[in-house]
Amino acid sequence: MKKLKAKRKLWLDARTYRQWSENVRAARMRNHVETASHFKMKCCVISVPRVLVAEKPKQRQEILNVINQTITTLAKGDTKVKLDFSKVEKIFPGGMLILLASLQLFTNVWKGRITARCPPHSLTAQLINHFGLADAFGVSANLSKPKASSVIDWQFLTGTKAGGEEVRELLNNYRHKTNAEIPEGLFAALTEGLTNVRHHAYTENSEVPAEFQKWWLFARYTEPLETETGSLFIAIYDMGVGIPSTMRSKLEKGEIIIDLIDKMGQSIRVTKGSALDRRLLEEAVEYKRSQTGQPHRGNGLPEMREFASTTNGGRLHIVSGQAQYTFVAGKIDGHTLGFKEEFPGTLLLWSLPLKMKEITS
Amino acid sequence: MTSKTIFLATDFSPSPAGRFFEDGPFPGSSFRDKFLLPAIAQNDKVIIDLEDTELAGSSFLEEAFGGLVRAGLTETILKKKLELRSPRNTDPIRIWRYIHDEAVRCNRVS
Repeated sequence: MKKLKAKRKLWLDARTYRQWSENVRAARMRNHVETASHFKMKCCVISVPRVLVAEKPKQRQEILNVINQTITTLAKGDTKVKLDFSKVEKIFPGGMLILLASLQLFTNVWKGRITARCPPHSLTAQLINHFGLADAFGVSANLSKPKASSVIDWQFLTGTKAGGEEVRELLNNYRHKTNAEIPEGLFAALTEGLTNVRHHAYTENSEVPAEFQKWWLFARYTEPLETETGSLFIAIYDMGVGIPSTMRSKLEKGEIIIDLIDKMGQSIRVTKGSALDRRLLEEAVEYKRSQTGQPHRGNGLPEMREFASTTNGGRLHIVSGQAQYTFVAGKIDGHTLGFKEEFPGTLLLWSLPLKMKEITS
Repeated sequence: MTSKTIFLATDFSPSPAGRFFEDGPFPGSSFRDKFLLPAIAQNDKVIIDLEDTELAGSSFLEEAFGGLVRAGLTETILKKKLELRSPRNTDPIRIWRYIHDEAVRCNRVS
């Protein structure tokens, strides 16, 4: 056998090592591609609460917890979210509105990473289909076809402008098929709500993507019977900065002190830190105070309150910042509550009892 | 004496809403600038008929009618020239209130 020269052996060893390294690198690449193509995301199941209602603070917080948990999970990057609606029993417009508006935003940001689990033909499945989200949430269109009148009578609008024509069409829909008196001032109250979103909700440096700087409106109607009062729930929601926040730029002397006390109290965990938000929301609704500072502006919220006061048993709820304002027809003043958690945006909600029209001969 | 009647529902919109031009297709500023101001300038009497319209919100009414005062007209001139017709009693009351409030603020009562 021919003896290898030391130099030749060194060269051959180097070539073998090079080839081996290349093979290992190629195998690693193949393995990586295979791993990526077979990469399976983790799935987190988040249970949606039994009652979707926004005007009650405890239940609203449960919905916000679902929203927060969904964001936290999706932000991880390697996890999908499956929302389990199987326990849902009661759905009200405000609750459904804040949940679906947020989920619509998330499905846009994290495409294909949210699915919904709904019992076939359940009201939730039908509502998700009715609002055009069945496909995005992976809910079968056949098993969620809207059939129930309690679903079909829900109306859903979204937009960026004052929306006079859309609101008129929505109200005409109800007017044509109902025996009930639709309150006269409702058009004005709703279009004022939408105009307010346009003027105040989204600031120039808003974190909300431009295509989501809009309003969402849900309405649910129940026909009155001879023995039973019907109802009309209407909710308007935006993801803007909130009413108290827009007014903070023009604080009065006393309010600066309340703000300081709020901040101190919150930092030492003695108070919720919501006193200023409560005061500002109440000022905006009851005392016509506008964020613009212009005296001829700021009529919208008082007009909504005024409208509620003309209805028999109607209620108006406004949730914004760390506060909730509630006005019940028949009472002189509204009632304001404060919360530790800040609400993402503003929710206006009217609950109006409907009676049958009086038949005149 | 010249007179002009503006039917809000058919000449403008049955569902007016919003304050500024960018608020939507039928805001108060548009009704004021395209209909009210030219009609007031060219006629002795202007009748605004609100039949078949929705009860408009304060943003629309204030900008359309209160805005007339900001455009330079006094409450006295408007009382002489404007006539409001509506199936709802509240419409003229609200509109005259917006005009009066703005006239007081702008010092243009007479």
